[in-house]
Amino acid sequence: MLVSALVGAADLNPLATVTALADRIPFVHLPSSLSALDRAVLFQIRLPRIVLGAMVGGLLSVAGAGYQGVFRNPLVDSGMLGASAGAGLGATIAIAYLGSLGTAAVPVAAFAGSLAGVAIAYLSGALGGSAAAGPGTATLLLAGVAVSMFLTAVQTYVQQRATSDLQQVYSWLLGSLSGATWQQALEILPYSVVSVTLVLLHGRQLDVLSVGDEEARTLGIHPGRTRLIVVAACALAAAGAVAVSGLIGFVGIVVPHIVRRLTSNTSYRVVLPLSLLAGAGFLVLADTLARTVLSPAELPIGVVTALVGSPFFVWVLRSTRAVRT
Amino acid sequence: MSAVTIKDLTVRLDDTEILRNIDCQVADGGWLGLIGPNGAGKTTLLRAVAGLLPYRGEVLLDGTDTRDLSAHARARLIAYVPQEPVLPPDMTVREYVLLGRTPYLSYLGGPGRTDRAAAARAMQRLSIEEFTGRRLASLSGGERKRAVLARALAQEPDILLLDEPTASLDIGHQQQVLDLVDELRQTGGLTVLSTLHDLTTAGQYAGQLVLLHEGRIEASGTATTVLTEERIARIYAARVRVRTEAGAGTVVTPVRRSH
Repeated sequence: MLVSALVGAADLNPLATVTALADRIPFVHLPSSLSALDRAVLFQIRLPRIVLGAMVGGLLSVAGAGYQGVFRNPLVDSGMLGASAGAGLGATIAIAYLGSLGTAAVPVAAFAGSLAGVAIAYLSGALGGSAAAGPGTATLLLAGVAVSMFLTAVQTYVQQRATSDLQQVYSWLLGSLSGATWQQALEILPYSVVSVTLVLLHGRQLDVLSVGDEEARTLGIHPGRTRLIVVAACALAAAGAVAVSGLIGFVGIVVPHIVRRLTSNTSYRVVLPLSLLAGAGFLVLADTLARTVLSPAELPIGVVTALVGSPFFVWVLRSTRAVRT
Repeated sequence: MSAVTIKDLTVRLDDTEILRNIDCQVADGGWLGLIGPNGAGKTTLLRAVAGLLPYRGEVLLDGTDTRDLSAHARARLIAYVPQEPVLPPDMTVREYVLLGRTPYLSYLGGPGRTDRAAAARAMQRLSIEEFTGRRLASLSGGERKRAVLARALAQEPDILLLDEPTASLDIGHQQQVLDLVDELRQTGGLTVLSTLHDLTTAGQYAGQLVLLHEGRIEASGTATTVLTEERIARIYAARVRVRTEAGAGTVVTPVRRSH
C-alpha cells in the first residue's frame, strides 16, 4: 500500500511521503518536505484511491467466497445471480437517459440495479423451489443465469439506442477506480461494514452447509434461511463495490481460491476473513499497475486483474495441491 | 434414551403414496431393522423419522411428537446417517466430526471446549483418533463409515438412524461396523433404526425386523417369524433357503436356478 502511495503520474519524494503520512498519525509530528501540491496529490487523490481499492477488493472477494459457500460451487463469483448484469443495466440507463444528471446518478443506479438483479433472480428461483426448503442451489444459479441474460439483453438494447454514450458505458463496464474520493469511501462504508460483518459471522454455518442441505437440516440448520441471509449480504457487498468501481471481474472468483490453495484450508471461518484481506491487497496492487504501467495513461483495472491475475492463478494451481470446495 | 413410536404414518411424494399407514414401535435401546425389496419405502421411512419429509401421522419420541420440536432440539435427539453422506473432500476428520456439535451451538456461535471434548470422545469410541488431521478424501471406505458415525455420535443423540450402514463394505468391515453400532447401542443407550439389505445380518443384529413391501408393513417381529422361505420368495421374487444355525441364527441362503 505504501508502494502504491509512492508511485504514480506525479513523482512524490519517498522519504517526504512517509514523513507526511506519519505526521497524520495522532501525537506524531514530523516536518515533511512535501509541497502543498504533492500533499494534495497524496491525500486527495492517491490515498482515497488506495482505500477505496482495498474496500472494493475486499468486498468483491468476500462476496465471491460467500456465494461459493452458499452454492457449494467453486465457479461462482460476486457478479452472480444478476448482480453484474443488473448493475450494468442501471448504470447504462443512468448514462443514456439522465443526461448531465446521469454521471452523478451512476453509482446509485448501479447499486440499485445490482440489488434488484439479485432480488429478481432469487425470487424467480424461489418460484421453482419447494416452499419448505427454499430454492435449491442449482435452481437459484440457473435463475441467476436467466435473469443475467435478460438484463444484459435489455442493457445492450439501451446502449444501442444511445450510441453517443457508448464510450462512457464501456469504460464503466470495464471498471475503474480513477476519480476515487473520500466521499465515495464514506458512502459505501456502512454497506461494507454491515455486509462483511454478516458474511463473516456465517462462516460456521457455511461449513455446515458443505455437507449438503439435507444433512445440514438433520444437524439442526435451516439451509434456506442461511442461504437467503448470506446471499442478501453478499449482494449488498457486491453492489457497494460495483457502485464505486464499475464491473471489476475475476477478483471475486479467484481470490478465495488463492486463499484456499495457499492455506490448504477450506473452512469458511478461515477463507472468508483471509479473502477479505487478500482481496484488498490484490486490488490495490492491480490498481497500482493499472495507473503506472502506461503512465500517465491508465489501463482499465478489469484488464489488469485478469492480465495479472490469470497467470498468477495458473501458477498457484500448478504449485499447490488441489483443494476442493 | 427414547422409545420411538410411529403411528399411522403416510408419506406422499409427487402424488404417489410411498408409505401407507405405517405403525411400529422400538423400545428404549432397541434395534429395529427395516428390510424389504428395493423401492419398498425403507429409506423414505427413515427420512420421515429424521424430519426430512412431510408426512401424515405421528413420530413420537417417548410420547413427544417430533414435529413439536425445533430443528435444534430434534438434532440433539436424532442423528441420521444417509447411505451416501456428502463428505467435503478437503475437510479434516476433526472438523467433520465437530460438525456433529452444530445442534448445541447458537446461531452465530462457535464450538467451545465441551464441544471439542464431545467430538474427541466420539472419535475415540470409533478408534479414529489417530487420523483426526487427515482429509476425508484420503480415507478408505471403512474409515469413512467410522468418521460419519463419529459425527453422528458427537450429536449425543438418543436415536440413531442408519441407512444401509454396511453398503459397499466387505464382509469383515460389515461385521466391524455392525458390532460397533451394537456396542454403542448397548453401552451408550442408543435406540437404533436402520435399513439393512442383507437379511441374515439384519436378523443377527436387529432384535426386531419390519419387512416393508410396496409402502406397507408386510410382517414384523423377530427374525424367525419374519424370515420365512415362502414370504421371501413372494416379496422378493427370490429363490432362497432359510435355515436356523447355531451361532448364526436365521440364515437366508440364495439358491441358484437348477438347470
